[in-house]
Amino acid sequence: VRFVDEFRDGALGQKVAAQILGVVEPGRHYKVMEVCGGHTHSIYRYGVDDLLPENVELVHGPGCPVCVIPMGRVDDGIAIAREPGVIFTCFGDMLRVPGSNGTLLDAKARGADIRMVYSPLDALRIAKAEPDREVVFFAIGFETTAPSTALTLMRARAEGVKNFSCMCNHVTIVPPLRALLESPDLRLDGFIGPGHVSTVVGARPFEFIPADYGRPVVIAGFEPLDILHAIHMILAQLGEGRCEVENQYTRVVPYDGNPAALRAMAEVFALRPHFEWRGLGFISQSALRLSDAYAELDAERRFSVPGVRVADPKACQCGEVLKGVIKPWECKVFGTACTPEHAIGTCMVSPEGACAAYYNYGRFAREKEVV
Amino acid sequence: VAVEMRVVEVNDLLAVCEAEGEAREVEVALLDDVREGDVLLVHADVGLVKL
Repeated sequence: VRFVDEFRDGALGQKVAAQILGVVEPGRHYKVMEVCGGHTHSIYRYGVDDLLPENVELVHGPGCPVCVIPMGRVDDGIAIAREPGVIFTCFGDMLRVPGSNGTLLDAKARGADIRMVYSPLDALRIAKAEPDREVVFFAIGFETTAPSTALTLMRARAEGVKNFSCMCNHVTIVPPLRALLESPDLRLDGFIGPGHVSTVVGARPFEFIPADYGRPVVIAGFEPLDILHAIHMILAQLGEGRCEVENQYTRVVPYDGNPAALRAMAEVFALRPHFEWRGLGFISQSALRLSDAYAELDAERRFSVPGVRVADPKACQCGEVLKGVIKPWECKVFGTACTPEHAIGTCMVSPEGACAAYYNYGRFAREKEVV
Repeated sequence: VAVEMRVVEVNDLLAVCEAEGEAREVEVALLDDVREGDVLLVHADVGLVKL
C-alpha cells in the first residue's frame, strides 16, 4: 500500500477487519485507547469502529491539544488580550474554548484585538508588521507543535523582534498516559500511539508502558487502514503474549524521532513543576514554560495574569471523556446543551475532540442502531 | 494535524511549500538538506519529517 486512496480502501479495510477477527479471543473484552485526537477524528469519520468485533472497544484518550486547556488559562489569555495595545494571536479552534466568562471569540466581539493564525510564524510576521503593538502568541499543543513555537521564538530573538512574546501552554504526552495507567477507573489492554507526536519524540518515550505496566503500544498513522492495522498489531501482541512498542507508521516516524526538534525544545522550554489539565486536574511535569534563557519573550512575565484556577461547569463531563471513562454520548449535555455551535466542554470544540468527532460523524450510525 | 507538502523553493532555513494549490512559508531548520521537489510532513509551518 503506497497511495492515500489505498489507505482508505474499503475492501482492504474489510480484509484487515477479518484478520482482527482471527486474533481476538472469544469471550474476552479488549479495551484499546487511541491516545491522539487525530485518531479519534479518523475513527469516527471513516467508521473504523464499525469494522471491529463487538468485544474490541476503542477508548478515546487525552491527546487533543485544545481539549485539555483549563478554563483558568483561557481567562489568563483573555486578560492579556484586553491589555491596551496588545494583538493576541492563537489557533482558530482555541478561539471557541470557553473560559469562566466566555471565549476568546467573545472577548474579540467585545473589542479585544484577537486574531487567528495558522502558526507562530504568522504571529511573528504580525509583530514585524506592527512594531508599535505588543503581539502575543497563545501557544498550545503537544510535542508536535512545540518545535514550531520553539523555532519561532529562536527566530524572534535572532531577528531582535522586541514586541513579540508567547504565552506557553504546551503539554507533553507521557505524564497523562502514566496518570491514566495509574487510574483505578480504567483498565486498558493496549494503546494506539500518537503518530505525529512520535515524529518528534520517537517511539522510545513509550517504552515505559510495556516495561512498567505490561501493555502493548503501536504507533499508528491516521488513515483508516493505518488504525485497523495498528489494532491488529496490538491484538496480535496480546494473543502471542508479547508486550512491546511497535511502529506501524514507519513511513513517517523514525524510532528516535527528530533530534533537531528535541534540541530546539530543550533550548527554549523548561518543564513546569505541575500544570492543570482540563478535567484531569494537576499533573506533575506535564507541561512546558519558556526557559530562563527566553524569559524576555515570556508573555506571563511581560504581562500580569490572574492565574486563578476555575472549576469546570458542573454539567460538563469532559474530564471523564478525556480519561476514557465515559463515551461522548454518555455525557449529560452531549448534543443538547453542548453542541459544536455552543460548546460547554472543550471536547466539543476541536474537530479532534471526541465529542465533536462523534457529534459530526458517529451519532448518525448510532441513531440508526438505536432505532 | 500535519500535512504533506512539496517544496517548491528553498531560501536558507525557510522553504515555500505547496499542497493542493496552497503555498505556505515553512521552517526547514529541523531537517537536513531540503531541496526543491522534496515532500515534507509539515505541522504549524514547520517541516518535521522528509518523506
